[in-house]
Amino acid sequence: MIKFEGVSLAYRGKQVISNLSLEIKPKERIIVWAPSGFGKTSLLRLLLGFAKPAQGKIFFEDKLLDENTVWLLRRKAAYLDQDISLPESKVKDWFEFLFSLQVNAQLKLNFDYLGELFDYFELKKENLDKDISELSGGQRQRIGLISAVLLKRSYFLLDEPTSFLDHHLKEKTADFFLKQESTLFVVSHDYVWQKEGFRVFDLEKKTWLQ
Amino acid sequence: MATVDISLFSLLSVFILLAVPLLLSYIYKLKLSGPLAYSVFRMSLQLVLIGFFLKFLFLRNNALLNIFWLVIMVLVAVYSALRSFSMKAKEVLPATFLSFFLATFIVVLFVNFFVVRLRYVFDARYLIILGGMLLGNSLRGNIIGISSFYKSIRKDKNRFLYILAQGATLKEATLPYLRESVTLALKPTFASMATMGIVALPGMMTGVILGGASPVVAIKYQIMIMIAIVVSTISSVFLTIVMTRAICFNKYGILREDLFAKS
Repeated sequence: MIKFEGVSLAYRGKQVISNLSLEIKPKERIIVWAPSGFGKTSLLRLLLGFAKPAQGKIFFEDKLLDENTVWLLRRKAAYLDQDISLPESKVKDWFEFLFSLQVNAQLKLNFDYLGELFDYFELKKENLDKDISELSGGQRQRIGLISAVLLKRSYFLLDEPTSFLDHHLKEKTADFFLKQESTLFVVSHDYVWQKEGFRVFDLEKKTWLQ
Repeated sequence: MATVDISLFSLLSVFILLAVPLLLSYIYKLKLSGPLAYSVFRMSLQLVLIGFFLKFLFLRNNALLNIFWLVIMVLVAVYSALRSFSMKAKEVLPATFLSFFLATFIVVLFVNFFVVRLRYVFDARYLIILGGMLLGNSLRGNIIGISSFYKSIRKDKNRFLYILAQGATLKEATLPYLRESVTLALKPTFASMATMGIVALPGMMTGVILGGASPVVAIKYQIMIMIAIVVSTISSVFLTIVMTRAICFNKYGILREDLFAKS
């Protein structure tokens, strides 16, 4: 459960989010929609503790989000930022780094499953041995999405996760996340996410669209 | 055979050499005469004062006094290092001081006790002179290593946050940067080791040889000091990063920009 309660955020003197209340129940699939400049990215940054609300409170699984619970949230969530800030390394090394983290100690990198994901997202296996910097934006975005899926976390926090993909792959990505069990929190101005099975929140007007 | 002393008058004659840069500066308008005069004057004054002070220290040869002077040397090194990281000194000074001091002090004591086998390990000649060499030689590496650690994290801000968002601990998220910094810090030392004795006759050797010892003794000392430099550089970079990390990141794992001067 994620809950924003009267949250406001100012960035460089400009009000980005004002008095926002929003609740996301377990297993819900929420899409936050707004044109750019309405604080979509800030919403996720607030959740991850990269920014602090000027006013209001954020709750995560019934606990106030603070300097302790934020680490718990980061361990339970799979996040992909809109710039896809993957490090400079080989794709394979990145996956290995991810799985070497303490938080993922119980997980094992399953290459069969990885292969299935590569097939679904139409990535060639050769890309595993490439440097991330050699990949196109679309390829990197799919690698980022696959990393998020591999971690088997309870929450997906995805920032414009289809911005670099063509229409066909956008559809496939949205369909893919419709079938996932975890709570989904996507911020995107992409209309591909406005379909049956997602609840869409208009951040500009602060109302539910569907 | 002792070192040939230089009389005060002869020493003054070395200043005649300065005519070369002064003349060049005048002809080519390099605007060097001001800074040159200032640097030479400052260096000479500093050394004259230190000369008297060291003479006093050697005469007394008091352990506490010697350690106190080492503390002062470390403080100056730390202060000049922090200034070049453009970090606000107040909060990180104690941690940086402690790591520089430990990295120097422990290595010097080890060398004095196990290698030179001094009966009196706090002997000014060894404690202060070797300590000073370690500090001086590891300073460049320290500056490179520590500043690269914080610079890369600041430059890589989004990447760093992305790793934190994956549920990494602060230790895990900073580890790649720590590795890179230690490697960078040792680069100048490795480079000078590669040409050691052939291109550069290092200060330690020059001193020992001019002091009248055979080159063989000088080389033994040089090998000892080079190893001591590598060890103290790597330890101080490592300790400083680990100890300042506890201060420079907030409880959310985010680098505190307020500790860095606006660049």
